Order: sequence, then structure tokens, then C-alpha cells
Amino acid sequence: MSNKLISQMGLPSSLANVFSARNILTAKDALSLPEFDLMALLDVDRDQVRTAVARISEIACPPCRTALSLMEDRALTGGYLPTRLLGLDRALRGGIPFGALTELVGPSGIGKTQFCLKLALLAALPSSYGGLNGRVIYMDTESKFHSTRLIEIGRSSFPHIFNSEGMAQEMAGRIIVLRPASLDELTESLQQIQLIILQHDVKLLIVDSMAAILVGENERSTTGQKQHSCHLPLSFLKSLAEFSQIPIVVTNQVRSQNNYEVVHYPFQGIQWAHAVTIRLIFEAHSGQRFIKISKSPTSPAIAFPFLVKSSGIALLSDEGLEVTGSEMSTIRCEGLNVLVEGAEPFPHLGC
Amino acid sequence: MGRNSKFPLSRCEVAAAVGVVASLGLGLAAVYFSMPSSDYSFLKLPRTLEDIQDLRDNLESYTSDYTIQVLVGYCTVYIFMQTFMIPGTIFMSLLAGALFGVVRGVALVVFAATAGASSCYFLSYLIGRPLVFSLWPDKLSFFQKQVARRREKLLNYMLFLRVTPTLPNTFINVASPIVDVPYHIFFLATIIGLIPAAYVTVRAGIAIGELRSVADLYDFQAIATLFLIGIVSVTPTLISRRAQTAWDMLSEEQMQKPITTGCEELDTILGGGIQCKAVTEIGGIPGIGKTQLGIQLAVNVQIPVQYGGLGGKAVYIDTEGSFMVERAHQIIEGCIADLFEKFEHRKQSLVCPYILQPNSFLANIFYFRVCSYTEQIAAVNYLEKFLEEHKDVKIIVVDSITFHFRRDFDDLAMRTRVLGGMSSKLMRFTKKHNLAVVLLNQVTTKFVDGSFQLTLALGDSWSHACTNRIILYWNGNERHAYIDKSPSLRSASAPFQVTSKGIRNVTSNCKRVRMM
Repeated sequence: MSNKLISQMGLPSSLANVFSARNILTAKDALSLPEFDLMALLDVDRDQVRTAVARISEIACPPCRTALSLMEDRALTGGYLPTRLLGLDRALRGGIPFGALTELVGPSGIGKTQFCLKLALLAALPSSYGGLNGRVIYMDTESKFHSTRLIEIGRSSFPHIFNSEGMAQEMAGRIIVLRPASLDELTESLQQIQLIILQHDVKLLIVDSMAAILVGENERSTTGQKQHSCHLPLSFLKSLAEFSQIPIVVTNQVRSQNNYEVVHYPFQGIQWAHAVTIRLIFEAHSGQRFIKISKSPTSPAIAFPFLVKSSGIALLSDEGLEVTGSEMSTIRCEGLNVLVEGAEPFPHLGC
Repeated sequence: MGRNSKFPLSRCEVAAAVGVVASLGLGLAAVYFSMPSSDYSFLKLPRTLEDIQDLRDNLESYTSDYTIQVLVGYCTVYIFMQTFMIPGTIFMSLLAGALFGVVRGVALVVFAATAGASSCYFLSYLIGRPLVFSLWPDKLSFFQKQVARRREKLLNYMLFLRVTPTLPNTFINVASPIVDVPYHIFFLATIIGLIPAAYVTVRAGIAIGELRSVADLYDFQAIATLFLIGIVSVTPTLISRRAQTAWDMLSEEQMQKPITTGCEELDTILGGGIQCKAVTEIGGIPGIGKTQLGIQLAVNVQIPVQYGGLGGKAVYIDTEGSFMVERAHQIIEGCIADLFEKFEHRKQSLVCPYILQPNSFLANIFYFRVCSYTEQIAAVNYLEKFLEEHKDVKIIVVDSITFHFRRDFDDLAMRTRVLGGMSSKLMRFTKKHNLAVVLLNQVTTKFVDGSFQLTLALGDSWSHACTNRIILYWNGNERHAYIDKSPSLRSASAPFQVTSKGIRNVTSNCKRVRMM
């Protein structure tokens, strides 16, 4: 929208010529300047600038929709990927939502990747077994994806499917694994993914994990660049989710200095926190592991105790514990071997 | 409500209508039986001028002897004709002039006409309203809104309609209760507005012998006079507004309703709710409930006027994609349920039932999804035209205002100026269209006084742009809202709760929010 050319907007030709003469070619160029600057640059009077800007804005503005039409669209696409964890699905009113960014955050080794593997399987399953019957793109930045583990989960959770001839192969064949090694590669893959999603009927995108890529990146680039680099994949993922109406799951890591620290914001900090729609915090305390719904538009904050089994993740209780107050956004990692990366956290990052 | 869904009238309404007819019939019968026996063949509803002249000749003799009976009979017949919209009341007015002279005739006609109009008003209120509700709900709500908007000058408009022959009086009687014209205004307008027309007719009635046809009655001069009087009564509404004095503004502000947030304590510290004609900034950490509050306001602005709200529409500009339509649906259902609970004692629905449906509420939220700062600027510019076309938008929520401006802008000075332009535009909208602008803002960490603190994003360069600023924060286990900056409100803090129904008061037994 912001790259629409002014020459194609139907302005009176004299004005259009003036704009292009001063090298203001797209809507973005025109609207980034305050009114007076435009007047001075183009050497036209205020009324003309006003009508021109109004016209450009009208065309560059995203279309207006009523919430009712959004609801109707939602009803068409279905809306959720059930996680098969009863308590969690009930709290999230269906499961992982389509068209939104879901974040899994927690210390290393707690079970996020297991959860992602299970989700990948669920999306690949045929609809007769409650799956989405589609392909899955799994972006594995830390080489944590093990296909043997995937098959093991499949065999334990859905024995009747996986023991039949060729099904295991087909299910595994629907999961595409990418291994980008740097931020640039990631961004490049993301650009291509948009096309792949449409062509190959991809129903789920998992990025495991964002943190690994961006840690490396931050250590290399300069301060100014940092701001841009971590925003780009974030906003791109978000718009990708909305555009293709598929669920996108991203995992994130916690940086901590001590082994039993309570951390308030995960790596990537507050900017991420504002941008994701649903945040599930994986944490450990009092000898148990918990999945905590920290941020969700339709659910209050609830924590479910869980275990990692051969069939993936299983909840110990479907009635969660209520979580109130600042505990909602804290992550406790008691008793786990937390990976400490680098010397200190980067709170001054705008990320 | 004791209503059969197919037939829009309840039993008591039908009973009331029958009762009115019965009492009028009784009145007529009483008169009939108390009159001396004689030849009453001339007594019939007057249809033509000759009938009047007949009646006049015959009744003149009775008038002095049986004044009471004639008066009662006259009034009853007049009221009967008005109530049931039987044409011919003009002949009755002529008759009054012929029988009683100018002064008493005018008094009689005005009394009878007002009484008749009132009874027609009540009958239409009982029967017409539910009927029209069920037949033409959307046209009806359109007209109701138009009337509600002109509430202050309604008397002038009604006077104009009564005095001039623009609309037939019968139509005014029937239509007024349906579009929610309150009775006291109707009464005043009728009793004052009918005087000129009554005077003209009654005077003509005196000289009824000379009249050839009804057309003589309303000659050009008479009609011109009536229009002149009408214009005089409606002129105050047409005078354009000059610069306002503070007193005018005060009375305006007192009449302008604020938008309730759903939580009474929060409303109290805000002076009733989010004020129209002001820009309010709401900031807080992620997960505190900013988007929830934004959606709640977009829903609460639509509460109909009859239920104490503004009956307006909402524009929601979403920069982060945090608007979830299922959550909006949940909040709308909660709002409607609370409205019904609050107004349970009213037997009849105050508005068309189709207005209080979640789908109507959803259809009144205009949603713009902006993905870059260019689109955000374009959307705010486009709103200027949009608001001209949609005059009933009463709130603009921007969620969140600074998200796209925190990156991609290389020239920070330019950014400040562009933001300034955007904020002054929004401020202008509030004044010009009398609506509220709510800007939701993120928080960020900032290095202040040697430590990292959470502050509002773009805080310093942006702080002059809003009228009021509210910060949402955690106080122990409770969510609180704090008025950080306001020219008219005191700094105060109030707790609130995010429930499945939306933003509500903190209940004293702060037990669990149950999942649906």
C-alpha cells in the first residue's frame, strides 16, 4: 500500500508532474513529509497540497471493513488448530488461532520443541483424524529437529495411523524442514515462504527459535541496525499470518544469569511482547513444569502442569491454576539447567 | 414481556385501545340521552360546508339553553375524530366559531384539539410503536436518531410543523410518539402552535354564511401569515454559531455524555467516562489490558441513547493486529446482557429489538488494519473524509499509536513533525465532530537517572499531543488505572478487572474469572 505510485493515482497531471519532478514517487515519500515541507518542496499553495495529500491518503489507506465482515470471514476459515490438550484448548477457546502469532517462551530444555513437534504432526494429520491435512514448514535454527523423535511421538499418540502402511512416511513427508543459519538467510526464506504457502497448501509455520538467530546477529551488528533487524522478521511474520490465515508459532528463549532466576521479559523483550497475540510461557517451579497462558485475548491467565512423555506433552491436570498479578509475565526456571548466553541482557535494545 | 411473537401488541395494549373507544362512546351516549327530545336528524358528522351551515342553524337555539351538553358533545366528537384520525375537524372548528364567537371559540378549539391530539399520541404510543418497530425497524431507528440529535431545538421544530400547514396534523399526532418526541414538548408545541390556525378558522366560522367553499377559508394572505409565524418560531435553530463563550461551552459539556468504560470506579475518576471532544492516551505494559479497554470502549459507545449511552459508531485503527473479533463478540454479548439486567423492570423494550443484537454492534465498528506508518498517516488523513460521510462515529481508537513510528524512521526530527501533524489532525476531529479519540500506547525501557525504567514509547516528543493520559499498571495482583496527566481531572487511581464480559469493577470477593 505504501509503495503505490503517485503517477497512478489520478491526480491532475500538472500536480503529478510536480511530484515526480521532485522525486516523490510513492505514497510513502509523499506522506512522510509534513505539509509545510511539501509546500516548500513542490512550490505549490496549501490548498493544492491538501487536496493532493487527501487523494493520496484515500488511495493508500487500507480498506475499511466492519467487524461483522471480519467475523464472517473468520467463520469461513475455521479458525483454530486444536492442540489436543484439553485444558489448553478449552482456555484458548479452540486452540492455536489462525491468522495470529503465537509465542512459546521458556528456558532451554523445558519442552518447547516437543510441543512444536506435536503441533507439526497435528497439522499434518488428515482431517478425518482431526488434523488440518496440510503441509507444515518447520524452520529449525538450532538443529533441534529430530525426525526419529517425530516418528516416536506419532507412533505413541496415533498408533492406528502410524502403524499402517506408508502413513508414517506420508505424514513425515508433509513437514518441510528449513535450516537458516543467519538472519539474512531467515529473511530470505521468509520472503519465499509466502509463495510456498499459497502453492503447497501449507497450514502451519513453526519458527524454532527466533532467539538463536537474533543473538548471533546482535553480537555482530551496530546499535542502529539492531533496531531494524529484529523488527523486520517480526512484522513480516505478523502480516504473513494475517494474509495467509495460518497459525504461526514462534519459540523464544529466556536469558538469565542465575539458575533459579525469575525473569520478567524474555529475550527480545518488550517489543515482542506487544506484538504477539498469544503467549504461552513454559516454566518450572516447585518441582513441576507448567504451561502458562500469559497473554491471550480470550482467556484469563492460567497455568497447567505438564510432563514430557513419549507421546509429546501431556497435561497433568485439565483445570489450570489461576495466575494473577505480575506472575503472569514472569518466567521461573528453578532447578533447570538454564543456558546462559553472553554476559548481560540487552535491556536498552528497543526490541 | 407477555407478547405473542406474531402479533406485535400485547393484551393490555389492545385492552387500552378498546377502553378509549368505550369511554368516548359513553360520553356521546351521555350527551345523547341528556338532550331534550326533538328532531335530531341534522346531527351527523359534518362533511361539507352545507352540513356546517345546517348544524349551525339548528344548534344555535340550543347553545344558550344547553351550553354544557353542547360543549361536552362538541368536545367528545372532536376528540373522537382526532383520536381515530377521522377527517373533517376543520369543519368542527368552523362550527365553534359559528356557535361561540371568536374568543370562546378559539379557546374551545385549542382545548379540544390538544386533548384530541394527546389522546391520539397515547394511542399511537401504545399501538403504533410496536407495530412500526416490527415492520420498519431500520427506517425507524434512522428517524429516531435524527430526532434525538435535534433534541435541544425540538420545540422550535415542532412549533414550525404545527403552525404551518407543512405536515397534516394527524400525521404529526401519530408519528411523534413513534420517533420518541417526548410528551411535554409535544403538548407545548400543540397548544401554542394551534392557536394561529384556530384563530383563522374560527374567525371564518363567524362569517360562515358568506363562505362559498372551504377554499375561501385559506386564502393566500392567511397561509402567508401562518408561514411567517412558523419561520419566526424556527429561526433560532438556523442562526449559525459564532465563537463560543466559556458559558456556552460549559452547558455543552454538561450535556455531552461521556463514554462509560464498564468499570464504575474507573468512570468515577474519569469524570463519568472517556470524554468526547478530548484525546485520551492510555499506556501500559503488555498484557495489562489496553486492547481490552479499547475494544470495550468501541462497544460501549454504541449503547443506545435510551439506555443512557451515546448510540454512536466506532472506528478502530489496528496497527499491531491485536484486535480479535471473537473477543469483541464476547464483550458485546456481555454488554448486552448487562443492559438487559439493568433495565429489566421496563416491560416494553426501549428500542427496536434488532438493535441489541451482537451483529448490529459488530457492524458498527469500522476496522482499519494498517501495516506501516505510511498507511497510518494515510488512514488518519482519510478519516477526514470518512467522518463527513459517517456523522455518527463517536470514538476513534488507535491501537497502538506509536508502533510503526518506532522503527523505519531515519530522521528523528522529521518523525517528530509528522507525529505532530497527525496528533493535531486527531485533535481537530474531536472538536469538529464532537467525538473521543483514544490512543493506546506501548511502554518501553528507558535509561533514566542511572537505571532502566518503563516509560511510554515516544513519551517526550509525543506528550503534548493528548489531553488526558492514563497509565495502566499492576498493583500487587490487581490491575489499576492511574490518571497521569489531565487538565481537569485529579490524579487518582482506580482498580479494574478484565473479565470474560470485558472491563468491569473489581468484585469484593475477588474470586475466579470462570472460563466459559
